[in-house]
Amino acid sequence: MSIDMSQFYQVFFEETSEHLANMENLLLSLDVDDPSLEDLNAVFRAAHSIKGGSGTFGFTDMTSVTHVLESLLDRLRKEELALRADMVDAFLAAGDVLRAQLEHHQGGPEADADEIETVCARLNQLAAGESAAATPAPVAAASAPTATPARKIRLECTLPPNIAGVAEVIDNLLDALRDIAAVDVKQRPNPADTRLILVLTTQAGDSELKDSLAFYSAPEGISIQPEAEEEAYGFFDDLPSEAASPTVDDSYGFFVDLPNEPVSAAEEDDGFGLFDDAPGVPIEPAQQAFVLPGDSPAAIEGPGYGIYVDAPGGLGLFDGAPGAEHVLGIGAPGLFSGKAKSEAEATETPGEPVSVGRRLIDNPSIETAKAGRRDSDKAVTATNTDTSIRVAVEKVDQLINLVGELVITQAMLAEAANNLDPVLAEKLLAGIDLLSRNTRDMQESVMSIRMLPMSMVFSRFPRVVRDLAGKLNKQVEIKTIGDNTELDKGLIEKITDPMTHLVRNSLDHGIETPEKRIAAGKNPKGTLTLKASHQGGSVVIEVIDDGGGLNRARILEKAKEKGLPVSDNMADFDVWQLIFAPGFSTADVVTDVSGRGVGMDVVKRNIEGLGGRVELESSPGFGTRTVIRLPLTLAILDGMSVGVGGETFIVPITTVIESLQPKMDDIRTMAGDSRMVHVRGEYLPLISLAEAFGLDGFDDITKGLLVVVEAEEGKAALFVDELLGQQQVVIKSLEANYRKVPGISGATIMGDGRVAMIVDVSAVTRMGLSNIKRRQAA
Amino acid sequence: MGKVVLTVDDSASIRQMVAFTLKSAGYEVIEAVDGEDGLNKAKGKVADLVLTDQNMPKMDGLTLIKSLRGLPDYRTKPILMLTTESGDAMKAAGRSAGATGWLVKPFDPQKLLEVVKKVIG
Repeated sequence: MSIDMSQFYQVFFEETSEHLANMENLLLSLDVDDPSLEDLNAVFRAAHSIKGGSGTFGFTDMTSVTHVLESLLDRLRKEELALRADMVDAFLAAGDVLRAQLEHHQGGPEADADEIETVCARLNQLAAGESAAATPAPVAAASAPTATPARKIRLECTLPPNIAGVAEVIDNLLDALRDIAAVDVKQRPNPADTRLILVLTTQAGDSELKDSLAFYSAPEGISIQPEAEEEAYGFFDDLPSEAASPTVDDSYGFFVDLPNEPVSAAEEDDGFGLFDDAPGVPIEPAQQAFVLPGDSPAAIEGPGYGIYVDAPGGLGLFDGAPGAEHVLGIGAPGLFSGKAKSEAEATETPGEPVSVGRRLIDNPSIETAKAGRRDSDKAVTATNTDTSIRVAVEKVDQLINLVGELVITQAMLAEAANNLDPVLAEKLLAGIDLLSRNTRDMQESVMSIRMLPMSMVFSRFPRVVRDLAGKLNKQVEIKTIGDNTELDKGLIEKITDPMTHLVRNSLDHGIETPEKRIAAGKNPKGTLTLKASHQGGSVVIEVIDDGGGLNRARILEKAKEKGLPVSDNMADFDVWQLIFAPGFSTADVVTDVSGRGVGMDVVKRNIEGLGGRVELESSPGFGTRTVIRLPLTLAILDGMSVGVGGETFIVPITTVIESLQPKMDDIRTMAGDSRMVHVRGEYLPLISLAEAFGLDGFDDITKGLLVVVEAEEGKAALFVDELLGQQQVVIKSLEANYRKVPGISGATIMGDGRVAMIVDVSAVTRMGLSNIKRRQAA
Repeated sequence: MGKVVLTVDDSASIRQMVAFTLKSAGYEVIEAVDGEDGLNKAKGKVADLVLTDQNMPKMDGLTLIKSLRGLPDYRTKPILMLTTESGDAMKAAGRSAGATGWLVKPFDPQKLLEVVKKVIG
């Protein structure tokens, strides 16, 4: 049966990126001087899981990197090495490399090979630097050789008969080799075959290997070939095949009646190298992975697996099998004695020459397993139903769309029901009420599926801050508040870049160097605070630093240079807004971190694109606070519906401050024909929606209503014909369905089936203001 | 009904692969996410074979094996340890914990089936 591994890739990708993120978090929070063993273990487990998964699913490039990473981590968690800051750096770099490799497997660009090499070399060096003192063995030999970047070769060496039989000489030879390679003995020379066969995992070149064997064998007697896993099978080619290998069941007690032979648990078909332990034959389980000199407690070994014969639940072959004790008494390789100790004794005799071998059948046969097995075309069932399920975002979005439609249908029903006699249709109306409540609840629950905690965004910053602070020689501590504040997934994805910009700015321009901070009487370590909270229908995200603050004089100076309209007595708030102008940078030096003057304007554009706002507060010597306000979600909006010239428009409720009926006295007409309205002691620009959208609305101000809105440009009064009501609307993209219209951020479908435009308050305000300015200028 | 296999692994992808492979071969599969979960699930329904990873949060594979061996239902049930460490130390540790055998990661589905078949048929 063949199983398509690619069906598991997606899970592996997701799991691995989680592991990587988790690893990074743990590494960043590690206290280098006193690391918690638990954290080190968790980091190790993450690396280990990635290694296991990548190996299983065939992403061997990742296996190699995780292998070296894991080796070093393993020594740390066993407290063989002390953690150092440069190790954490190396681990983080390894994490980056793995992420790049993972992205490559997911269809991204190829990971930088030099980078990978550098990271592996660095990790090896860290492990080796210490291990030189601790263990003389090369690092590569320390653990499983399968995944090391070193090459794996098969070395056959024909030894002269005079030394082939001398165990000490062979041992010396092997010891010499172990200095430069991980040695796996396949066959010791014996009278029948004087070849020494080894599988080596080494970084040493062929000539180096031959040199180290020069004392024992002529170079032409040595053959070196790359070792492939499968080639490890059946290397007793020239020897007569060993006694029949019975089937699994038959193998029980097959050799029981032979007094001097322990039972040979030979297995059929796929040559898993099961203990052809005829007298005098040391264990020679054909497969490379297990012919390790030393104790191997397994009884049945295959390539990559083994079964302890006498263990509970094992094949139970030899427990109390007749002859077992007997065998021990004789001192033959009493493999299946059921006592670990005697097994150890038995297996520790690899020095004995092989006198009998048997050809082990080649590859694990695919055919055999196929028989009698059902087909594999069954759909994969959900893996982890315990706490969460993974669902494609499209499915959730589809659900949200459907709920949106449901909301519209419900609104239609409610509207139609308005015309019914409340007495006659009492039950129907009660049902519609219930429906509207349920719809709303449902909508909330569905929306909450898309909600993700802000920690998804915040979690990347400890790393960014750490790296940047290192680069800038600054000391910065990062604090996050409100990690659990939830935000729509779409927003989470889009807020990361602007926030990264802000954080970079804070570090580069905000927080001062330790010297400057000390001189200013501050803690040499600066603090960067990321904070998220809910405020009404929006999420407020703040980036706060305790640095030097914005320099008002310099901003004004720069603004004048750039020809921006400024005056020295502008309010602070307006001065700070200047840095959002395109190409504005007050940095004295353009660093590689930030300060090229691209940034704040992009940040502002991005956030406004999300329906949000950015504000700055700053105080010289105390720091800067950047506040981002975002709507909770991009899909649904609480809106006030207003009528203008027979059309319905939706004004986002978050922007509405109040609505009022204007009095003629309050209206002031400025130069040109722009109008201002006096509301509670303030003069606000009056913008007629009818005028803005070219509709035929009321001309007489006193007949209509004013909706006072607040946009980032400030307050304004929108003049509308009438207020229709307040409701939740499902935002439909106008751009996707029609085209972008200035002053309109989207559309929605009303209860009566008509399309209503959603007013982009910022844009309309801007349009109105620029009209006014133009007129003033004229 | 097929034989029941309990697979304990903290890696969802490995678990999914193991489960899919075994289910395709007609075994019933129970999945557990770590040693603790594995122990609970093992108590819930007695499996004919337990496959467990070694490195897991909460409870590792060796501890799970030891704990299972303490349960009357699992005194003689086959338990295989899936491990990336093929070293002798790990094998000895597995043995003394009471594992029936081990399977070195990475392995392919074919190998897994072969070994499972060998142990429980």
